[in-house]
Amino acid sequence: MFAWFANPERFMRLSAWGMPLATALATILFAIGLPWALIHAPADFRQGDSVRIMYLHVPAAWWALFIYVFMGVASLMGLVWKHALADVAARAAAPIGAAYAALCLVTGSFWGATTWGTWWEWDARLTSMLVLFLIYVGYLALWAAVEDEQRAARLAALLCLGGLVNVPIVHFSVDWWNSLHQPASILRSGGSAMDASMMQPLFVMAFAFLFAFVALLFAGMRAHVYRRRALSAAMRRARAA
Amino acid sequence: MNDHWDYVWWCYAIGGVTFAALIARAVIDLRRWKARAEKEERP
Repeated sequence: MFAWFANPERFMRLSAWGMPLATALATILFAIGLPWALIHAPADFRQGDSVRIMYLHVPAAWWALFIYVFMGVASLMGLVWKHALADVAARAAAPIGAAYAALCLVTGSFWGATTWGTWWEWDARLTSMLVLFLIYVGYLALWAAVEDEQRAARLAALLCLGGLVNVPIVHFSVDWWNSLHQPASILRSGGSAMDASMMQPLFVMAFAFLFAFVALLFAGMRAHVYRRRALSAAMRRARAA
Repeated sequence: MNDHWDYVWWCYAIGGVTFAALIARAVIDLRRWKARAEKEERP
């Protein structure tokens, strides 16, 4: 299945309609989710209206982790099977994952300021999320620093695979250590602790973030495919001249 | 409106700016490289 997707021509055909479709779905879901989150969803009995930050913070956190795992799978496929699009997929996903991780950290900081009375605490969840963001930044810096693309892809894939260790640390940090951050309230054994009136807009926003990621990923991958085509055509011309 | 809204608005404004930046970057990159590939591949 992965080999089928790894064909650049097939990917360009698929993403030519996949990108506008994902953009439309993200737009519709944001149009439903934003007023739901800001107006219709109830305020929390303890946190008041500051709970509305959750509708940005939680999807950003979920997908920042998911995107990193996606990059890890793509990196592994690039290293082991040398799939033509694997490193392109990982590279195009990285800035989106970094932006989601940064959004999670910033919104979490605002949420912490209003509920905990502090903008930052060197607590296990916050620190491991910051480490995830720094790994994203390091991954992007590595791609920018190494000129030889094949070497850059190999080194970036190794960095990405090494950084996967941090993903379970982020997820389980609230269970493994005493944390200011609340424990998992949705993805936990025993079912969700959240009321449906908050869970529904949260999932709408989460899917909006997901489709935004898909649309941006397709756009980024298409740009990289065009870039490779342009550079190899320029090289062919230079050789012929 | 209570003072929690000051924090909420800031978060949503930052979220909007984040997505605007991601979209702008994606559109600029895609247009730039598509045009360059078409130009280079022209016989």
